[in-house]
Amino acid sequence: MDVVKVWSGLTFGDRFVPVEIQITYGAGLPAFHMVGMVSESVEESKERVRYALKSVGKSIPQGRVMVAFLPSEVTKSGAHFDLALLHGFLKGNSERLIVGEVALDGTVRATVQSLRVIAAAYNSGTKKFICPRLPESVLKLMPDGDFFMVEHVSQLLSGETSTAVEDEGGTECQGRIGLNDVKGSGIKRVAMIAAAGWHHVLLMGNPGVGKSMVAERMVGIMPSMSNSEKLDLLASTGTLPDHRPARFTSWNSTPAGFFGSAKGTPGEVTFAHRGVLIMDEFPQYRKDILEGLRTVLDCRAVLASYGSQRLTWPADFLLVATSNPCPCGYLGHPKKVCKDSPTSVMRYLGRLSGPVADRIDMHYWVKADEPNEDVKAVEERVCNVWELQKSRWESEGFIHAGHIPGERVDELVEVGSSVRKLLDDSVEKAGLSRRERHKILRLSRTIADLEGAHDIGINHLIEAISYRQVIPWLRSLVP
Amino acid sequence: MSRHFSEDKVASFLASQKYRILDQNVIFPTGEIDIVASKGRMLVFVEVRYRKNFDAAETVDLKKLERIMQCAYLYTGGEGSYRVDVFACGPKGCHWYKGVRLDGCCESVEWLNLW
Amino acid sequence: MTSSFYMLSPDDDIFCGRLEQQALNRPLYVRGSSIKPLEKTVGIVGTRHASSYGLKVAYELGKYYASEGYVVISGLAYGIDQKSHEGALEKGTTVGVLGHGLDFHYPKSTLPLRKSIEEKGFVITWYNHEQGPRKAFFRERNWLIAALSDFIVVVEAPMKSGALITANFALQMGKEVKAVPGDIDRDSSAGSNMLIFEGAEPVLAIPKDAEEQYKSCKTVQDLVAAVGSLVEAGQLIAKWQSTGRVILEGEIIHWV
Repeated sequence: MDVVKVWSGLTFGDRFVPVEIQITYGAGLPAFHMVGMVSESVEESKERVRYALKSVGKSIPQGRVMVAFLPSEVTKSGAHFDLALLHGFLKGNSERLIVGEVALDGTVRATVQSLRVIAAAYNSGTKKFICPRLPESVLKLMPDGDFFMVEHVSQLLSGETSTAVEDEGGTECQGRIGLNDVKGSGIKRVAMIAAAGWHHVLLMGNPGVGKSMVAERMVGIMPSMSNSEKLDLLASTGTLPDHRPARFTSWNSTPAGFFGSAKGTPGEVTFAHRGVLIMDEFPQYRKDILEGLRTVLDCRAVLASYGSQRLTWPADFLLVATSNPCPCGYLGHPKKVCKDSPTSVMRYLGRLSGPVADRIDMHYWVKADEPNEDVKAVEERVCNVWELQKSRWESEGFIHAGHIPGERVDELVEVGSSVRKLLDDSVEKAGLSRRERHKILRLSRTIADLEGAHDIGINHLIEAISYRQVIPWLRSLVP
Repeated sequence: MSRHFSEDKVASFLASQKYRILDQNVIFPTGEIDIVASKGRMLVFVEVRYRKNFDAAETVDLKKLERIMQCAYLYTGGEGSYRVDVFACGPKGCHWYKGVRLDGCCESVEWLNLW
Repeated sequence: MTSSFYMLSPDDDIFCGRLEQQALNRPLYVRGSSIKPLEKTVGIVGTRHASSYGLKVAYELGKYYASEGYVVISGLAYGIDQKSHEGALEKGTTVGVLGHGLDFHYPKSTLPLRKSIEEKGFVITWYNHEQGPRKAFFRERNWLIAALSDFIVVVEAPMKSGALITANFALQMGKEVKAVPGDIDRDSSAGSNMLIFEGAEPVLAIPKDAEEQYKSCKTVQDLVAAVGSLVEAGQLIAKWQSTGRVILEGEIIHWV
């Protein structure tokens, strides 16, 4: 029995799952059967394939056509199997990975899912593809790839390959706004430290002091994305932004929209991979999101189980949360008076100092009337710290101070013995937790790097500690 | 209802193949059988389909096959061996699906030019 | 209560000569994990049945004096004594003076407090560890409080009370007595008000902000040296930065 075999694939989280498509024919009334856990979206490709074949003057062979998708235990979904089926009917076997959606007139298109499959497959070692026309910016990410790009089904028969889609020029600089229009030198410094060492930030302040505005500008001062970071983002979300993503989330998001659904759609945290995730009005978020965020921050990925499969979404984002100090917003205001009851303020602050906020490295109080001095060469300094920290720790498996695992902080962040003793005594006296201590050390390492200091000094430690003492200060304001 | 010319062509073709035509257009409460023929001890129930523009076989779906099977059962009273054949005709010729089962599979397919 | 204790003579170094002056020759029994010389001391005394105002002031005074580096001496009774010990423990160290042997405790409600004092400071008494409490001993204890303290603050005391006895002892030893003014219609503050009438210095305010105290610090290192703890210094910086009092530039503190 003749069996035609072609290859395609699907993504499971950020993982690539190769799918073998086998086509065979049997005697009987004409029928087109697909087996192997095909979902509605794959089922529809029958009709597209039928008419696309007609566009090149062919038809589905007489009799019973049986198509099997292997491995049959994984649910197949997406419209990107069309081109593989057409290749099977028109040309027979192929060694290349085939993805692409086909229109009724035979033109081949790239879907989001097909981009994800190509990127994920490239990441896991596949180099030869048959695919729709891809943009130049995508091809640039995969220099070793051998792409046979088809614009129309007839090219499968003629063997001509199409050229890449040209990028629209001039997008590189747009959207990269630096900190120039931010007022206040303290807040600029906080943004710089956070971006330099990948430290999560919680910005607190009275309404209208420009918390969210700073949050948006954070991506602008980070170095642009590397190819492998872009490829990861493409493999998990199918999007390829020109610069680091800055995802603005709202407090009424659902957990599925925020973390991604197990069935295969990535959530906001994944779209913000290697970029900034902005959570405005942090304490207002649903409790299940705040709780779920804990593990995401620890693992820098979303872990989900779907049936027997474990699925991982990359989610290595820089969290920038903003919050008012109390329900009415005017606690700590220089002139206005907070009208909330002490219990409601305490409850609000309690939500801010829970286990999630505990994982945020820097807390900062944004003031309306801060003195505004220019911080010079922000991008350059941030970039230098990135390179310094990368060269220091890349062999350990991470590249930012904010990523140093807790159990290795004491080993990897070196502090002079006298300073260390002072720190140990103070931490013990104040009764701080180990995690708190690790956060102080990580943060002071980044501050020292920004200052160009080799050793961590008392001033670096004090600055790091002061970024963790805003909530106690707010507590003391409550009558 | 007038009989389509293709049904007569098929009947005469079957007769030329040493089949005995027992009945044509037998009407049952569950439907109609175009041709009932026999060869040896084997009864053959034939469904003839004609489509000008596309493959007539595609119009034979599960529902139609079920009806034919029910008619065959009523005709034989559940005794004796029988099979169902489908002739899917077009302007250029005809596919002869021999021994079609309910799931659409068949024993063999022949291409005939009856006209 | 079976942990060890020390027997000290009155001329021991930790008393800095305070008991020698009184020409005594009785041994003292001491228990605690941090027995250090008493350089600067203040006695805070008052009634056991104090108003909430008195309790609050006792707490704040204990905290303030401890943060200034004083060791707070008091009698481990409930009420004013208890609160001044608690306030002192938050910022520094304190000494409890007992009217019975070290194996006993009276009153029961301050037992948890005594445990924490034994961890951070120490308790002291005249009596052998097997000696239970007796009424007369508490007068002697008040004498010891007065002797150990550089000066005495009476927070709230009625006309007939142990706190006034302590204040009298202190006056006889030539030590200064301060008193916290109280409500004129409240019996429990009549004694402390009378002390003011008789010439004791009234305590008119509790200095609240540590800012003034540290204003001379020009660099972070100065501040850490003055505060003594990195975390507390960080707390102060966070507070001052948030209220716009200072700008931190590297290690230099700019006061606004």
